[in-house]
Amino acid sequence: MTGPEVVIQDVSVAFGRTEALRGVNARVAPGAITGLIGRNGAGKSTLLASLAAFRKPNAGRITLDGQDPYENAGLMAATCLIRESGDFADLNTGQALALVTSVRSTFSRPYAEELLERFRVPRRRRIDKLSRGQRSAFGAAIGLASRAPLTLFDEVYLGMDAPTRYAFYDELLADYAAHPRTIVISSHLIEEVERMFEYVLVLDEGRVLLNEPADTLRQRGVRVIGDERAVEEFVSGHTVISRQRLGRTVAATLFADMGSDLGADAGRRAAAKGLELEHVSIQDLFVHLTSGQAADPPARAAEAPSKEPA
Amino acid sequence: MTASTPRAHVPTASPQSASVITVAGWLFRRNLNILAWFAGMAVVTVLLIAVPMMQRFQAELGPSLWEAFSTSGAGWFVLALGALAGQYLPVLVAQGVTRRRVVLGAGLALTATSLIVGVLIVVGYLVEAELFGRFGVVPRLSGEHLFASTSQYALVVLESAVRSLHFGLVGLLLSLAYYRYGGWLGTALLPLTAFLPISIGLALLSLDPAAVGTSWQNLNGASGVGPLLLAGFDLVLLALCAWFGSTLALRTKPT
Repeated sequence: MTGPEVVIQDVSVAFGRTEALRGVNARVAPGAITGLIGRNGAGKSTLLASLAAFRKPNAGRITLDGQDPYENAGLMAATCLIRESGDFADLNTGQALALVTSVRSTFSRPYAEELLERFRVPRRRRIDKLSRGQRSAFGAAIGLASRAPLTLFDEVYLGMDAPTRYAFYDELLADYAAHPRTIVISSHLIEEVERMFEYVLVLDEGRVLLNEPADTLRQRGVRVIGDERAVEEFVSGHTVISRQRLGRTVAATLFADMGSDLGADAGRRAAAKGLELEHVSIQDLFVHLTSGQAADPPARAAEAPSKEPA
Repeated sequence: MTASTPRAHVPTASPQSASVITVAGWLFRRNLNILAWFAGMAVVTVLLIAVPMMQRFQAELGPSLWEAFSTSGAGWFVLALGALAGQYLPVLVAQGVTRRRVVLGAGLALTATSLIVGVLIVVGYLVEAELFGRFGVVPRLSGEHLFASTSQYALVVLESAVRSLHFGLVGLLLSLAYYRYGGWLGTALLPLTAFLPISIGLALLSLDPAAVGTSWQNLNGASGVGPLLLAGFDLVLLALCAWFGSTLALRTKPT
């Protein structure tokens, strides 16, 4: 085991009358990188804050290795949540490094210094006076160098310029390989980061929409393009999550596995009808599933599969 | 995305949670920085304001000026440090420290800071005695104290430290209340979170509360039991802070 087993059972969190999470059930695969994706307001930050014991859920239960992390000294020390907004008050970068060094036993200061150099974060400057991108880069460096068994990044790359973002992804994968742990990265900008994901957890309006291995999800989106009548015949009986028309040509996006749901001969049947089949990226699938305009949306996932990573 | 650099697999050590002492040490070091700045300002104030004023109003010298500051200003200063410690609760919790440990660490840090404040108050009395002495005057104490003379250093430190710690814990409590309830309700609760505990504490210490601007009357006459009573009350206050702090949710955007 290289990270705690995270189990979320019927978790609800409300801010006044706003329900951020509504009966969330999920497992986070230990020792893997999970992408937590959802639209703005889907409940991503709230879920991560609850996992990191920043707050107690109003209802339900979160356990890390079977125990409630809230005010649990061992589990809180094993968890690091880096938020885009930052949590360093009026400290400067040097003071923040000194603080993390003194309270986090797994923190590698030399690695953090190396990352700050690579991300070009100015030293000895108050963190709240840094630009948004520099603040994000500082948080990313702290999160990586903390090497906490459960590391959570909440939209951490927002504001970073492209070279810094790519350097962050590069470092994350390299350090994850050297120090395997459970990593959850929340995002609503998926295209750049989806290649890192081993699992994907999709939240929509405070509920779990999907929780699957990323490779499975990558197979789940199929776009069928061609003449309207032929397309409709082909997709009949399958879950259509989007339809786009241009004259008589229709592009229908199916939430279906190319092999198991459409059948092994799907390609041959499509070709016979003059149709084109193509896989849909996780980002496109996410957009269609959460747009609220899905032609025939899939049922919500009650509880996610939790395959142990190989 | 660029290719990641392969690295050797290194087993990560099991995380150890930060102890109360570690938290206290970090908060204490921050307090020391502010204390050093404050002491520097005090020296400048004495040299640039107090000495010229003494020369101008020589004839009226007599009552201790330092006494007025040490029985009120020092307390409010440590109250500000306590409030600052409360501000760092989210910072430390975000680094994996439990809220209870942060509050207990803050209590320890404030205790150590208060002892240093007590020592600085003794130094202040000595400096004042030296300055007054140059004009042939002995500073006169006007309030009730545990000590009869400022040369009873241990008693001066004890009284000052206990009083400062009390103010510091009140600062911690009101800071946590502001974090929990926000500006309006936090301010509305000041009678409960600040004025009431300060008044009770000062009454227990058997000092004249007028020195800190309250109208609360003494419960007891001056006696050696005051610091003990106040220390006991401060333990209750610290336990209250630890309980209240442990219920605080870190602010989260509802997203």
